[in-house]
Amino acid sequence: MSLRDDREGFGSVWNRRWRAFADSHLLYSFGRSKLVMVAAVFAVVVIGAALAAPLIAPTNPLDLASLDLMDARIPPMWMEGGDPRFVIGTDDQGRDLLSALLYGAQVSIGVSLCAVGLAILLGVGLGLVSGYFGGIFDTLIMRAADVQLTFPAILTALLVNGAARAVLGDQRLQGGEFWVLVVSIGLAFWVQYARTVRASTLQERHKDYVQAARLIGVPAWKIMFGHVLPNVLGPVTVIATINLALAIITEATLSFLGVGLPPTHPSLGTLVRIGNDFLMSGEWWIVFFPGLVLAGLALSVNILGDWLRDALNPKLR
Amino acid sequence: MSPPVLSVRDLVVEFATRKGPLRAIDGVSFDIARGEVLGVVGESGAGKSLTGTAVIGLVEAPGRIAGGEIHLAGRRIDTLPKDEMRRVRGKQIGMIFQDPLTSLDPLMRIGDQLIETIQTHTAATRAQARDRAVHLLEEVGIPAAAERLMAHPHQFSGGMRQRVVIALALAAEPDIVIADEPTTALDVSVQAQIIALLKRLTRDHGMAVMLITHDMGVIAQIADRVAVMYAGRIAEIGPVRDVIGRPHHPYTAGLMGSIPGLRSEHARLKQIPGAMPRPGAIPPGCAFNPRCDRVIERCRAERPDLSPFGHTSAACHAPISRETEEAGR
Amino acid sequence: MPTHLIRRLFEAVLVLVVVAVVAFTLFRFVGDPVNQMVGQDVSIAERERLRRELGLDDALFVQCARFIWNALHFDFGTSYKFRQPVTDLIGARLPATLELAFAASVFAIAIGIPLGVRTGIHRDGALSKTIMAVSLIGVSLPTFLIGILLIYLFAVTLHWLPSYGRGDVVNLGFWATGFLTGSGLRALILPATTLGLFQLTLVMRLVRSEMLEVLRTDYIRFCRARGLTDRAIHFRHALKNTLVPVVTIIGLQIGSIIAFAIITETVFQWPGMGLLFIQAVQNADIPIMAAYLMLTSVIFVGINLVVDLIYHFIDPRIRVSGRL
Ligand SMILES: Nc1ncnc2c1ncn2[C@@H]1O[C@H](COP(=O)(O)OP(=O)(O)OP(=O)(O)O)[C@@H](O)[C@H]1O
Ligand SMILES: [Mg+2]
Repeated sequence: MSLRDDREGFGSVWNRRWRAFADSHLLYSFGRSKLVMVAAVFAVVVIGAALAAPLIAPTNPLDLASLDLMDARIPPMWMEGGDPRFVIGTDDQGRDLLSALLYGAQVSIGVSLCAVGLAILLGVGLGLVSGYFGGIFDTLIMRAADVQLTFPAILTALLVNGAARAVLGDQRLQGGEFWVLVVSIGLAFWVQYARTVRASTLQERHKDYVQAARLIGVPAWKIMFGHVLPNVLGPVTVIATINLALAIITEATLSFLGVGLPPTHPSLGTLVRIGNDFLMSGEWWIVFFPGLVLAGLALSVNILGDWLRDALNPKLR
Repeated sequence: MSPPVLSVRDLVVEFATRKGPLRAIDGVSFDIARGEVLGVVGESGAGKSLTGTAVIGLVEAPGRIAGGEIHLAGRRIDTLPKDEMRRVRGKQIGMIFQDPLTSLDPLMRIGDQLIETIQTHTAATRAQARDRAVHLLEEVGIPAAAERLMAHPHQFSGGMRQRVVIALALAAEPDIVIADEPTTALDVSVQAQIIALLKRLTRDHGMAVMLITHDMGVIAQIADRVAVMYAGRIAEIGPVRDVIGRPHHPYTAGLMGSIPGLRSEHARLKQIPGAMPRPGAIPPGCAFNPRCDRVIERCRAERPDLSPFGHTSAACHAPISRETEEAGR
Repeated sequence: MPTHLIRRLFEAVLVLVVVAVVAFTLFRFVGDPVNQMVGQDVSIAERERLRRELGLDDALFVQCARFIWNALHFDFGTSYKFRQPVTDLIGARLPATLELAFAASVFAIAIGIPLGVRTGIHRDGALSKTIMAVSLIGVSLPTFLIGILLIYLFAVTLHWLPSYGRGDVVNLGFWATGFLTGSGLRALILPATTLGLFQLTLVMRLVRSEMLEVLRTDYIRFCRARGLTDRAIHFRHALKNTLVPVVTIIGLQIGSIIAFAIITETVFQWPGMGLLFIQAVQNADIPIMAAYLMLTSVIFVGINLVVDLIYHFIDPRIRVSGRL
């Protein structure tokens, strides 16, 4: 195979992918499964509403001055003692729960998306390095991956989080909690990407065009990455979707455990944590609505991930 | 002639796909007499394995037997309830698969696999079953059989494993064994031994064999009759000598022609242009018509039935007869 | 066989050394140990003396070796927050966590495997599909929400079971067990269910997919072709062949059960190591974090070794060649 042929084929790799996609099981199975469609609609609505929180939320829950403790713990408006100003009630500080929920979902989704993005960057990068350069890089990276796999993601996230707290100290952490969360979760998820990309890189590395490019001094990695990335697009999308659900759960868990975002800037997990204290006294709504959104979001993303995996991998059906 | 041990009539196997049913076996009919070896040949994807799988009742979803009848020793078996068909398998029909390396449960001693199979089909006690297991291993030519009962499959070589597989298939003395490319995965020298073993077993037990293979040499050695399959149909069937030496279907002729050394030395070695159509893309009329050099109008319109020509039966509107062949010279 | 095990043992020790070095780095460089130990008002001279006493001036290599040596003798230093030896703090809480993890694992395995087998065999049945759908919900529900839900149902609403704590424990010298009292067992039910549910769904889905995989193999087809009964095929041949991967994952799962115990213990105020650890993370109490890290890795690595041993009983091929 000559190098020229290969370069010509380069742009059309994506083209071919797209045609394969349109023709594949993917669209077909999407249209066929009501569950998947419901999940997709739910995820899109929640994510959309969360991103648009400042536009659609009735109040700004971050504006502490506007809070009135007199409004604390009001039940949803359809219940006795409800207030039409607060559709699904208020929390212990008199925040409108609906607004808090929208802003909270924004934080949760933001952290999760950034964390998965970080994991992908890290994992794909390390995987390419590992597969392309081999040798000591490969050994080091893959050993690190092995060790990391011994530890559950939540533990890694907690440790990174604790270390960041110790390094930064409580004052300096102020405002940086978001990124501490992103890093703790992102670092816990890179291994799968690295392994997938490494395997694919190893396969590609020995093909003729890579060798040919090397011979004539073209930076082989440029061409190669262009070929490896389309190849791993499918698996990486699947892992990323399933990881997104996991990241949402992990963020919520960290926040629930009190090592996430501060109560003044609530995420879904923080809201559940707050609400949990009032569950015993019967104020169920503070837990219920954030919990419902959290579970629904994780579930729908998981359903989408499952469907993607099955559809992109007909062998597994 | 005694009634056939296996009789397949108009067998149809279809796969359900999202674009509708796909017909992979389309109207296959053949008989196998007691003690007879029927060779089945054809290109990859012609439906040989699927025919065997259908006979033994193991077609898996999304595939299903969509038509036809299968009779075993006079009893119709394709409509049997699940559990009764299970009793037929192993007891009356055995099956051997291509790859002996993956045909045995890796975690179970071969003695236990044999004893389990024997006890499933007979009322033998464990001790009796064990004796029979030793006997079977001896019969298929495994040295120190009694000790080898305790061995796991990975402790055998490929050829030895295929012998174990054959012993397992024979455990309950079936009337017919379907052997799906039993030697393809083996070394050439081992292949000959396994074929010799099969030959001996058919002679000693009066067992019929449906032998699926790509190897015309094997067919010539051991088969009594041979069926040539093409695109889910039988193109020609008849005694080995006639099908090889005097084929009537142009496809058979092409197939034999493309195997060097089987016909006389001056026979041309010709390639059939084109490729076999996949199920779902089979042309109307004769499935072979786009590749056939003898094609006539009728071949494109009307599907030919198997009809006798000389000693063989061929599904062809323009068969090669001796006259036309001579006229051609 | 021994060479294989020796190699695995060597790898395990290597992992533990790496973890110990990470723990040491955490201890030594994340925050200043001296500043953490003493108050603001201690003089510089006093600090220097403490620094020398602790050996923080020695070569790093020496410090690291000493740290590991001490850890091997169960000396993990003193908690910054509690001003008590970390060993004592953890020792008092270890039994609670191990008992909780044990109960949760038994729950997950005893229910997860049969469900997985069933849904694997009857993959298209209505019941299997329902179970699979429900299990996806199980995977998506965060552990703490499950805990809160169970507390709300069985403790707050129905008053059947306690919502927090361990109940009465019996002290057996080193070990305070809750297994021997009625209240201890009752207190275990909700936390163990919470902790086990997630693992249960994972075990079930894994067993199912392994079953599907094995049921497609040639030897299972050959079993069918020999007319073996479904019972024999599914349980004697298929299930046994799924065990190697299943045991691996279950081993890993027990590891994550110990990690997830952190969450369950927080929800149920279960007085175990997890609760201690989360307080340590909140307070940046590094000695406890380092000790917890090393202790859990010993447990994880130990489980992995046991898993390896189990392979040898399941799969004869490993006994010969040392690997699959
Ligand atoms: N699960 C399936 N779905 C759709 N089509 C199938 C399926 N399994 C088999 N087929 C089709 O059935 C046809 C017959 O396959 P079969 O395995 O019997 O071929 P064969 O003659 O044994 O070939 P080979 O010599 O390669 O073993 C093939 O064309 C194949 O496309
Ligand atoms: Mg075949």
